[in-house]
Amino acid sequence: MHRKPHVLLIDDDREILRGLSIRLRAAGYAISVAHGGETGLAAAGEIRPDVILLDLRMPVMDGFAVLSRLREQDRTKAIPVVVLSANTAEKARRRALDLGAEYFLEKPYDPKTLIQALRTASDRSATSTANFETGKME
Amino acid sequence: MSDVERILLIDDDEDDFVLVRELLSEAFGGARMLDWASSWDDGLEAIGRRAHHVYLVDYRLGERDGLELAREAVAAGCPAPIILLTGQGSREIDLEATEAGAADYLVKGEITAPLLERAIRYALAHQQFLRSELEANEALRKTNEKLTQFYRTAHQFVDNVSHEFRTPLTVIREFASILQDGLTGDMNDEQQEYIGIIVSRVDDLTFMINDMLDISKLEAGLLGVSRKGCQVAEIIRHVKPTLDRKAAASRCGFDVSIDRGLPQIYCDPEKIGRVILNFAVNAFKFAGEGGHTTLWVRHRPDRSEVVFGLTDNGPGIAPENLMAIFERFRQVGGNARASTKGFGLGLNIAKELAHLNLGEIFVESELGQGSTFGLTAPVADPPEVLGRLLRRPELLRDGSTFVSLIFATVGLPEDAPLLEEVERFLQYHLRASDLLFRTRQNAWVIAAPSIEQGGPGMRDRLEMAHSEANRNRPGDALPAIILDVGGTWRISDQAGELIDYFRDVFGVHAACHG
Repeated sequence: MHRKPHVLLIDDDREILRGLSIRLRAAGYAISVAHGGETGLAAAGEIRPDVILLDLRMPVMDGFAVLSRLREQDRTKAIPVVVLSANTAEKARRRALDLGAEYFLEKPYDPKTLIQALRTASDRSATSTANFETGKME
Repeated sequence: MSDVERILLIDDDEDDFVLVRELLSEAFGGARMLDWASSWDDGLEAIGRRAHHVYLVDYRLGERDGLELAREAVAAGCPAPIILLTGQGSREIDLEATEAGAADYLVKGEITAPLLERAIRYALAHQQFLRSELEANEALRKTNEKLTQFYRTAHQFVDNVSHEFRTPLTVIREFASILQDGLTGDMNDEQQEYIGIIVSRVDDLTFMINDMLDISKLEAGLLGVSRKGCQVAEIIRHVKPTLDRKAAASRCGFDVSIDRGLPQIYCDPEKIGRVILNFAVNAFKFAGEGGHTTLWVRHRPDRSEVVFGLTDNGPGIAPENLMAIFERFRQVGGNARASTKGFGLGLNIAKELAHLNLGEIFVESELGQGSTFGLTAPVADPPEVLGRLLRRPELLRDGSTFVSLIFATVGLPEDAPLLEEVERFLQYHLRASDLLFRTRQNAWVIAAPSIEQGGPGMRDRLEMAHSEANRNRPGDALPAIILDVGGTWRISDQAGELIDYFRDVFGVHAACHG
């Protein structure tokens, strides 16, 4: 059976979260929303989404910290992460990718590119999870 | 004649004091000016009070001599000149006195009133000169510090502003495109059009922020560039959707005409794309509603380059204004207000981005006929690309006089996926002035301009970055990269030699390749 892919949005801007939710729900995603890094990290472990869309600059716990904590925990380390940030510096991009982010997208984003990135990232995870857990993928 | 008011003699012999007082009286017409300290310690203490304009110091002062006193006084920042008095003159004492910081030395038995007067006058004049020199240097240093600080602040400011602007822009664009795409219900044509205008203008603002950030990074030497052999069609494919959207928003006709069989070019495709976008946005503006713009790309084999052009059929630019545009091209980092009026930041950054790709920009226009804004980029022929750098090193704003070649090799088979990571690593750690060429899938050569002879600086930097990178990598370790310095050539007179050597490098590798 087909289940809607589940995306967890982590950002500290409520309006960005709201807009992203509308956009991604229309694209066929089930949405969970976390306002801020700490909430986001907790939510990731709890709901184990298919993919996470993560902001970088957030107060208290920033996106880099969330990313490395996600990678440390067994429950979350296989969840693909797409970074969506207003910090476009090459350093930030490099660091996010080194920490294991699948894609680095800049704000403002192009909706088509965003959806494409999420799809590719979550497909990859679905394939590798299936392989890992059941070995049934051809 | 002189502003000498107080002089201190440091001498343990009272007879000397009497003698010097008489000489001074004769030289300056009054004896009131001379004070006397009779020991080394008293002398140093008196110097510390800074009450005198000149110090006359006897060489022989018991255990510690006058030289040592002079050294201590100078080290303590004594602002007045010290003249050493010695029993007998010798070249050795002369040199020692200078080294200790004394302004002059006089041989006791030979001192006459005019000689003493002259020595004091010269010492004071020299001291005055040194002081003003020191003050000027200090003023320069302070100004320099202030400018550096200001520069850093400005750069940081641009960085922050661009970041802060992006968040509201994201929200505006997000909700405008939600409406535009009908996610909350259909809109009529007029509403669609207005929303299209909002989205388009938000994109303009985003471009401008990117340009602003690039200019700031460029000025700070932080603009990263990642050049490699690229297909022109690929670059065009990447920018075409944005160009189509912009043209539609300006209601301007737009088509693309690319020569068949274009060679690969050596460039940073993202930067070339940015220049094309900048030119196109201008062209659409010039051509206006109902006008037409063509993006064309041609090969110029005689100059080993590819030319990108944006030709519009707008009103054209009058010759005097054409000059003004060139002026604006020239003043990146100049008066931003004057240089951007009506043209966006785009034309400024376009020139710099073209130079980073070892190319040029140009404008051709005729009133009533339209305009062409163009950009050239070298074909991906390594000796040609290196030749461009050597002929015009100023294109890369580096100021180097030498070029070193560094060979990088990885002991992995040519189809190893990790090799792409090595390419990324090298690209990331090279400076904008370094050229990177891939000779095989697992071998690279770096042409690294430098101010000094010898290339180990770059090699050491890469080796350090390599171990650093592996400490931070969660996944597979970056494979070992063997780095060899192939030699260093002076740009001014060894360029031909370097090019020949370089040609051999590629000739040999091409042969190996099959």
